[in-house]
Amino acid sequence: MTRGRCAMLAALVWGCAAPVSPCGTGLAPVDLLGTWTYEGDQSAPPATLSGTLTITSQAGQAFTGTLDVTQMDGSGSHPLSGPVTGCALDAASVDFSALFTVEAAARRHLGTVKMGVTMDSITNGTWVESGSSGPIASGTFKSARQSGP
Amino acid sequence: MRRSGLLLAAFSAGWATAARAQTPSVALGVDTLRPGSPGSVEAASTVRVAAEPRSFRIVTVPVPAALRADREVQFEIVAAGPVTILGALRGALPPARGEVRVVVFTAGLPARARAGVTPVARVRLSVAGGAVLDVPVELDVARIPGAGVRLTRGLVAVHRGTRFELGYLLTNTGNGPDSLDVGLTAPSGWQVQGPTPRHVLESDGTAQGTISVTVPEGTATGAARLRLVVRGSGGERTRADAVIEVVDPAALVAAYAPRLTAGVATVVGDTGAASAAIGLSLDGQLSDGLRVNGRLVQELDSRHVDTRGLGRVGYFLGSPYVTLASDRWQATGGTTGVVFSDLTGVNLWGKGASFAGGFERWRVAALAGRPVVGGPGQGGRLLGTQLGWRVGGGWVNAAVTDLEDAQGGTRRLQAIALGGSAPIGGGTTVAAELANRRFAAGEGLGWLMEVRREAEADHLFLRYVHAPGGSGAFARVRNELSGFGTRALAGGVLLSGGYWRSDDENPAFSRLHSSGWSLSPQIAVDSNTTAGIEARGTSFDATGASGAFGNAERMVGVVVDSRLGSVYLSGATSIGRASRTAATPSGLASTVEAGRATYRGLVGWASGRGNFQLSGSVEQNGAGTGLLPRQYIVGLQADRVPLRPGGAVLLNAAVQRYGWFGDRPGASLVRLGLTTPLGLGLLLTADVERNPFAVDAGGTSRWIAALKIERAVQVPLAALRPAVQGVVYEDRNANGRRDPDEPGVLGAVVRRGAESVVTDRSGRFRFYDHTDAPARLDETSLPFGLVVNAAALPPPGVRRGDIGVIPTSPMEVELLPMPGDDGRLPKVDFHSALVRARDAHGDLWTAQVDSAGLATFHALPPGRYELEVDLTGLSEPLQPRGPIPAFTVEIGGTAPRLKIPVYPRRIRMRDGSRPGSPGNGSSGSTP
Repeated sequence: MTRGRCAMLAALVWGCAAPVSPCGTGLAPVDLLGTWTYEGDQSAPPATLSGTLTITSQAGQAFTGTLDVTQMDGSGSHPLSGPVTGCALDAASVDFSALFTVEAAARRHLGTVKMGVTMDSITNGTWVESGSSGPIASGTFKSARQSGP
Repeated sequence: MRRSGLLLAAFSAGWATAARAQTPSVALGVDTLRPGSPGSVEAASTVRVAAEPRSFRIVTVPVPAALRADREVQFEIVAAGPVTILGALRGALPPARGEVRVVVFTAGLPARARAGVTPVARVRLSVAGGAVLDVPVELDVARIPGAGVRLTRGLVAVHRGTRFELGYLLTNTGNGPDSLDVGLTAPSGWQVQGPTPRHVLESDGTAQGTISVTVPEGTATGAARLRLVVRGSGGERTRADAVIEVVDPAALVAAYAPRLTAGVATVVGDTGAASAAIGLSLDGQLSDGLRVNGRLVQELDSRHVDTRGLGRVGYFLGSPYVTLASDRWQATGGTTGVVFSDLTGVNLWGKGASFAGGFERWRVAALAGRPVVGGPGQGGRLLGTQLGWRVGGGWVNAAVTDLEDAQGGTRRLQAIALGGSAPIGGGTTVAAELANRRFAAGEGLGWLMEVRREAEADHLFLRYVHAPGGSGAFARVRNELSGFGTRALAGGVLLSGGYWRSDDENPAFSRLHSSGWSLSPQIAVDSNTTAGIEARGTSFDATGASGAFGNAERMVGVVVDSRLGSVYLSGATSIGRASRTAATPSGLASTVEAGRATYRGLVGWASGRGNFQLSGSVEQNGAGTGLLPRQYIVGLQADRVPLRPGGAVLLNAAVQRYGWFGDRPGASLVRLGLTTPLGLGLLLTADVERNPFAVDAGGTSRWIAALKIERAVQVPLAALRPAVQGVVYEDRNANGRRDPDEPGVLGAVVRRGAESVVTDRSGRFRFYDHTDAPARLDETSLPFGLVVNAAALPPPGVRRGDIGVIPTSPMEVELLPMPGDDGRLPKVDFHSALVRARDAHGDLWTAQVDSAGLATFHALPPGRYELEVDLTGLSEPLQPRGPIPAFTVEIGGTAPRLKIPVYPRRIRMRDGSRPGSPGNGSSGSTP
């Protein structure tokens, strides 16, 4: 094997090696399955966000779903949607990323989960969208469960 | 040796072929002839010789064996066909025992000799007191194919998106019947309608025809070239080029009349119909220097609105605005935004009014409005103004702003700033600003410095900003250090790099830090292909009410882009590592770092038949980094595919397949859109979409269909009068005025300065540019047989000027060769003759002359002409004697053929014994 091929293989191994997931598949600290409203805003440029967060599967801490929102800014309303992958860090914190289909950027979210008698919600949510050249936008969000498992 | 043998064989074959051509194809009179009674005439076998048009052929007629070899044979050659017989026409062949006696003469074939077997002569052979034999002589004239094609209009003006007829006149110039196909080579995307026309024509036969061509809707305006190619059985015969002037009718009309488009759209999903929305847009020129642009999309019932579906048909709700703009200033009312500076306010969006103007010595920007974007608003204000004065080569700026926005956490700023910029040479400019910033949590002095260098081979931008209050006080960030640069190196290498670092604070984040770098050397492999390496690293750390989180990524990869004509390709791959951190208020902290690899490829084709693109990407990410572990996306997209000629009906389609290699169910996103006219100026846009990421309350995605109907009208404003207008008409009586029975000319191209317009059915044309350039009719766009009446052109500077065109007539002049003084009739080919007619203005019109001396003026305007004949270029110079008559072409009339006798030059003998006498010298000639 040539030195170049060795370097390429090493690079691939380095690039694709997967560590142990922080999201365990044991007992779920909080049940997130279901449909959640999603309301938020973007700091700059100013915009509002409104839509639906759907968690379709959850295995332990890890969960997947979709996010479908409409972003209203100075140029009008724009639909954004894409798959979601996330982790329930503990019973009160949820961390997920949405990867919108129209943008090659991931929007990272961190929120506080509150399970109430009358309503389950995610509050104090913040998000940052980072692209290949750094953060693009940031903002806040909140959610309320509409329907559960 | 071997080569010599081949040459010898080839030479022998050629000699044999030549010998066959010289030899009559039929053996003569040895079998059928029987000596008859004296004086009776009997027919002998025909002598047939191969020949070509415009050639001299030596014909050998053997004396039949039936005629006694010991007797003298009298012969007489009688011409019987369209040839010239050269040589002695009668004579005697002496007795010749044991030898074949032959009669030899030369037959001259005209250029237009028809193909096939043609009787050309009869050779009468007789023996005193014996039989008389007639030997028919035929020439087998070779077939010389040929064709001529002429366009009925050399320049055709059409509106894009329409169909036009390209007319032609086809002539079989060959010497035999021919089957001719007329093909058309058109630019990519243009559609030629119907099968290739075929014409079967006799020699000299003509046919008229048309070919329908549709110009695609998206064709750029300007001149395009079409090639008419005539082909026969043996290949191409001839060709002709047509110039097509593509004109955008909307652009001409809209130049000074804004286009108002009104429409209604609704969305139909499988969960029921959503509310409709109406839309209005206005766009166009109000005057020479003023343009308007505006938009309003409003839902009829906000409770049942489907913004996703409406967006699919181009209706994005909210944010109405109208903008007036000149080349120096712009004013907007409605939803508007302004960027003052990082210290005095960026990302200012709201409802109100804004103005920005740039003039020679000063510039100004101002905003007054309320921060209402995407909702009812929660109070606040957006007030600010910025003034700039030119000082030397730089600018001094002052700005005052008072901003408050309660949306998404209150942002507040009251700032007053002073700054400026100045060039320091070498393409480098420095800028600085100092501002007092009063924000919600305090007050501080902000400052900004920039260095910008823009040279031919390198660009550099360095920046530092300190804006107390950060984005919570209408800055982009609180502190920012950034630098970006590119430098072109030898060998087509372009080196790009950058670095940034920022810290911010706002109502959502008490701390938001980001940093990154990139380095990207790129090389131009050739004029179409670039390849490069890209290395980058990015990170952010954010602290908010729910805790702290951050991402970081370091990647290195290669990128290749190429374009091959209308096909473009790109590919990229990168590998690296990504990390993700999180810390919750409960004290839980996690950090995950894992590898990451991405592969992307794309191939596309942009053409008049639509834009097509196939793309694919694969990602592999370590678990827990916030990215999907394994993902592929394959997409196929087709945009603006014309379904019907002309491009009025357009199809858009896209399919994207998302897969996660079993980690979660795959998903397909399907979109299909259609735009088609409905008649009466209505345009229908229909779109259906199934988006697997847009799910209803039950968690299932659904098909969404959206429909939009629009109609656009031009809004003519009184002030928008054409600068020059007129009519192109047929001036049938050539009086220079348009009379009631004189129709307009459709499709004529009139040019004025940089503007070109096409006349409508009434022959009308309009120009809007205010210039002194005169309007000129492009005569090549006129139907054949029409010319401009040059005697009645509108004078320069008039606002209304009609242009008359007059019909022309053909005129024939026949040059008749006459015997010279010696009685000899000259035989010449007149192709080299020059026959011209000079009109009353002194302009010359040249005729086309054939070999027989027929000169044809195909299209002469009415008028009186003096004829000029120059025959000095002929093989035997001829000349007319006496004055050459003039002639008159009447309007719409057909003048009789004019016959001009031409004679050989007279020969005068000189008497060499008498110096000075006219006859001195050996011989000579005078005209």
